Amino acid sequence: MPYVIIKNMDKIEKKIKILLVDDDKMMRIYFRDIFWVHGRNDKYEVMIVSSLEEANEKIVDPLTKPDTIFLDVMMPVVGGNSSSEFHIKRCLDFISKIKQTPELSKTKIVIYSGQKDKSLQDAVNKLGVDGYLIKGELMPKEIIAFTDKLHESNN
Amino acid sequence: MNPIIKLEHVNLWYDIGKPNEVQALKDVNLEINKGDYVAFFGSSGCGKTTMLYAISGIDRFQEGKIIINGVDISGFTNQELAIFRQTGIGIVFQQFNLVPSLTVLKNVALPMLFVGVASEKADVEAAKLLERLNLTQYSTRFPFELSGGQQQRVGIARALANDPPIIIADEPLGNLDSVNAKRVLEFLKELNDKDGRTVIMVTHEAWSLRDVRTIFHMKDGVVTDVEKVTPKTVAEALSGHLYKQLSKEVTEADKLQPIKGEQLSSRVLANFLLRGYSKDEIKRFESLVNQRLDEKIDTSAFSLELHKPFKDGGVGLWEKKAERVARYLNEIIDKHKDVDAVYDIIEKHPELPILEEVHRIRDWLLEDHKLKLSPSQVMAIDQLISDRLRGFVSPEKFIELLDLSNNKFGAGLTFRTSHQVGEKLESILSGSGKIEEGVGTTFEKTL
Repeated sequence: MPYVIIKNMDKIEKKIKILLVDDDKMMRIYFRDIFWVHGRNDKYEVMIVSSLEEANEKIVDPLTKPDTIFLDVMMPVVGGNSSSEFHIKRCLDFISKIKQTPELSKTKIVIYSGQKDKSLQDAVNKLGVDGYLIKGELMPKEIIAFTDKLHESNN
Repeated sequence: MNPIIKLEHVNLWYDIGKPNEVQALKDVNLEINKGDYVAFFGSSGCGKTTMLYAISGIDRFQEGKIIINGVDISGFTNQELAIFRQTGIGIVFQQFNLVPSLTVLKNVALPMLFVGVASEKADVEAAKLLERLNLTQYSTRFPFELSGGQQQRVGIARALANDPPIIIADEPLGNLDSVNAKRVLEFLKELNDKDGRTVIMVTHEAWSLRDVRTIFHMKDGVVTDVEKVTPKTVAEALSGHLYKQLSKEVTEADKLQPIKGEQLSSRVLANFLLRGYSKDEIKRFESLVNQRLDEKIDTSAFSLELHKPFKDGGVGLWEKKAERVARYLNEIIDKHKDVDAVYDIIEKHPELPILEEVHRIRDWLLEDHKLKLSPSQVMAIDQLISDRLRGFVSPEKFIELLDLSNNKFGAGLTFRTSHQVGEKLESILSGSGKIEEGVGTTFEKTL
C-alpha cells in the first residue's frame, strides 16, 4: 500500500496562538514585533486586538481560537463608564467567562497591565490566571522567555 | 537556513520627479543569513548607506520588497517602521548621534523608554550595558565630556538598548583613532559571534572588513559582487582583504569604469567638508561645489548660497562656516592648478625631482594639524606624497601608510590625522582629469 513519508514535521506542526488584547496601538505593534524580529514566528502566531469585543470574536472562531491570551486591564470603552472599577469588573467578567466555558478551559490567561494594585492581582489570581506581568518591567527577551516557559509543557 | 533579511528587486530613488532625481538603489536582490557578519563595501556615493537606511526602514524604497524574518516591511506604516527600528535594529552611527543634553546613562536608556519600558527598569538595563562596554564610570557624564572613542562605545551601548537581533554600523570607525577603531571592531565581532546577532557594516575602508564573512561590493547603486570570506588569522585576513580590495579598486573600478573626475571630486569634497550633515544637505552642497569648480559662480555667491536656509535652496550653514568653506574651496582650486603643474613636469621629465612641489603640498596638507614631526616622519610623508602623485600607491594605501608607525617605514600619524590628510590630498587629486593619464604615463615610464 502506497504511503507518504512526511519529511518536515516541524513545518506542519501547529503554532501556538497568542492573542494580545490591548487598547494601546503602540503596545500592540511592539508586542507583535518582539516575537517576529527575534525569529519566533515559527513557534508562535501572534494576533493583536484592541478590545474585549474583538477578543471575543477571535475566541469563538475555531480558526483563531488562542492558546494564550495576554490581557490588558484598563481598556476604555466608547461611550462607557470611565471608572477603573468598571474596567476591572469587565476584565474579571471576561476571565471568569473563559474559565467557566468548558471548551476554553485550557486557554491560558496572562494579565499584561500597567496596574500594580495588589488587590487586583489577588482578584485575578483567584480566577486562576496563569501569570501577571507589569508593563514596562520586562525587556523584549524577558517577555519571550516568559512565554516560552509558559508553553514548555506544550512541547 | 532562512534569511533574516531578504531584498527582492529593490529600487530606490531620491527626489523623484525633481531635476536632481537620483536612483540610489538599482534592482537589488540579496539575502543575509541570521548570525552572519556582512559588509556593504564601496566608494562614497555607491548606495551603501542608502542600503542601510532602506533595510532599517529610515528611507522608503519605491519598488521591490524587503523581507525581515519572512515579513515584507514595504507596506508598513511609519509607526510600524519606527517600532521595528526600536525593537529589531540597533544602529551605530559614524557621528555617534548622542543627545547632548542627556547623561550617558540616559542616552542608553532612551530607546527603551520609546517602547514603553519604565524609567527605573530602563536605567537598570542601561547600567548593565554600560558595564559591558566598560563605561560605568562615565554614566553620569555628558557626551561632550567624553572622547570620540568613549562616545562611540556609548553609541554601541545605545544600539543594544532593546536587545535587537540586527546591528547596523554605518561607517562606525570613521571618526576614531586606530586604537579606538580596533576596539569598536572587537565589540562588533563580539556582538556577532558571542551574542549571535546579525551584524551589517557599511564601510569604504578595506581594513575594517577583517572579521566580516560576507562582502557585498557596491557601485552606482548596484550590488556588483558577493564575496564569501573565511578569515584565517586576523593578520592574514587583514592583509588579504587589503590587498584584494586595493588591487580590485585600482584594476577594475578605476580602469574599466572611470568615474567622471568632477563628479567624484565634488562628492569627496562634499562628504569631507560636511560631515554630520543630512544626505539632502550634502547633495545640495555637492551641486553647489560643482558649480563653483566649473567657475559658474564666484566665491561670494558660493558663500551666500551655503548660508541660505535649506528651504530657499541653500545649505543652511552658519555664516562663518560658509565663509570658511568657500575660502577652503578657493585654496583647493588654486592648489589644483599646482597639481596640474606638477603633473606637467612629471610627464615631461619623469626623472626630474619634484621636491619643491611636494614640500608645498605637504605644508598645505598639514597646516590644520599642530604636529611635532621628527625629520624621518617628514621624509616619510614627502615620500608618500610623491608616491601618491606618481600613482604608485592608491588613496587607501596612502592613508594606511601615513598611519603605519614610523619604524615600520610609515609616517606614524594618528588614524584620524591620516584620514584627514589623505582625504585632503584626494580632494585636489580626484578632480584632475589628468591624473589617470598622468599615473599611467609615469608608471609605464618608471617600469
